[in-house]
Amino acid sequence: MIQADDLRCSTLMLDVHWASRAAPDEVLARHLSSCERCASYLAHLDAIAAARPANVLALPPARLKPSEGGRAWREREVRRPWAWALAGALVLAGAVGLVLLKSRERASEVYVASKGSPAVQLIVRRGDRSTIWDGHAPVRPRDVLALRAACEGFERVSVAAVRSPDGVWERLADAKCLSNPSDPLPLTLVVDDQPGGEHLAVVLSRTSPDEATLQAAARRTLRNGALWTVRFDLPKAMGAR
Amino acid sequence: MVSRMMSPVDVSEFEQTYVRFFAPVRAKCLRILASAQAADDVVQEVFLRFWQWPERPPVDAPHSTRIRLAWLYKTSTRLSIDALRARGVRESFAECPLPCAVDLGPALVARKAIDSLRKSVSDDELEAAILCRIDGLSQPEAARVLGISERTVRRLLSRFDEAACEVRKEIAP
Repeated sequence: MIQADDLRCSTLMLDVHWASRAAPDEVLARHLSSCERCASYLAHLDAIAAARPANVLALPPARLKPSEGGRAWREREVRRPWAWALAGALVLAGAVGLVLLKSRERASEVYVASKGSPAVQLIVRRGDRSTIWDGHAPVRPRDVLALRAACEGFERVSVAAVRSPDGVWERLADAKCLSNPSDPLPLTLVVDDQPGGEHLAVVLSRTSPDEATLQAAARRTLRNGALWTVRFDLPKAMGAR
Repeated sequence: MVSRMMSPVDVSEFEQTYVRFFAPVRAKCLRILASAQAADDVVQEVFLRFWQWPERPPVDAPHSTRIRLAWLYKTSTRLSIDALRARGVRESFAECPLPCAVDLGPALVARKAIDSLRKSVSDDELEAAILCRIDGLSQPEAARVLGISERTVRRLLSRFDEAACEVRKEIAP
């Protein structure tokens, strides 16, 4: 049987103990009470945790170039058949969740995003549960959608949605990129109960795109030095929630 | 075209995982890289990869913490090696507390040797050296993290030590 004096703790052993948040077993507890080095290591973890970025995704500053964006969003009412309802930033604060959409084809199977790449996140809130859209799952009437955008050098972000049946994209919002890419855009979209999928485009740009440019970017998912577009084509399920 | 992304992630799982493992992963990257910015970059990459890991165990699964940490150790070690190779020699080592299983003398040698030899020894040898010499993992622990046998760990360490011989002489002539 290992005695406390015989115990030698690796970083992994202490990391497991620290991360499990469980009380240490008797041997480890006695060891920690007498081993200054291990106690210092655990204190080191506490200090790092205390300084952890507050937001969950925590994209480090080195990865994301902050812009001088404000929140001067120009929001529009969107009527049926789309009937995305726009709400304010306070509502959005509750719609939490995230995922990264990479800006370019993945260099390997394991990388999610490349350094310097823009990224857009789509969050689906259903009832009291927020999940990250997987690119396939259907949305349902009354689902609330939210977005986050890491602009990576682009200055502006525009959000547009299709107005069926004519296929014209309507600009829902247009503003400077937020200084903190982990902040959700102050825009929420509520899925209506009309049949048919929903189509959403997020266009990052150097300058605010004019109407023709926005239409072209959204239709063709343009990506070049001046524009970077992400399309979300969301199937809709009309069944019971 | 919108890139395919990870499967749906329960936000609460994301939060729990991040809160639990951020500090150990960042501490590990700091030990290797001795640079807050470089460590942050690697930490970010590690967690991005974590969400791409299809077999990750549920948060409440038995031994989930141990399994997740082992995977995070392996991934952060490999990414840190990539980061080390991509930049110049460190001017100083981070003053990170090390638990009692880490022998400070061999750890110092290993750190200097990894800096000196990072482009000339194999990834496998560097991984074994980092885990056993700097993180203080036992050989069985390192074998589990790397998914190799203890015998292979011993062989890798032996090769690394041979390569590090000159560095050891410099430190303790």
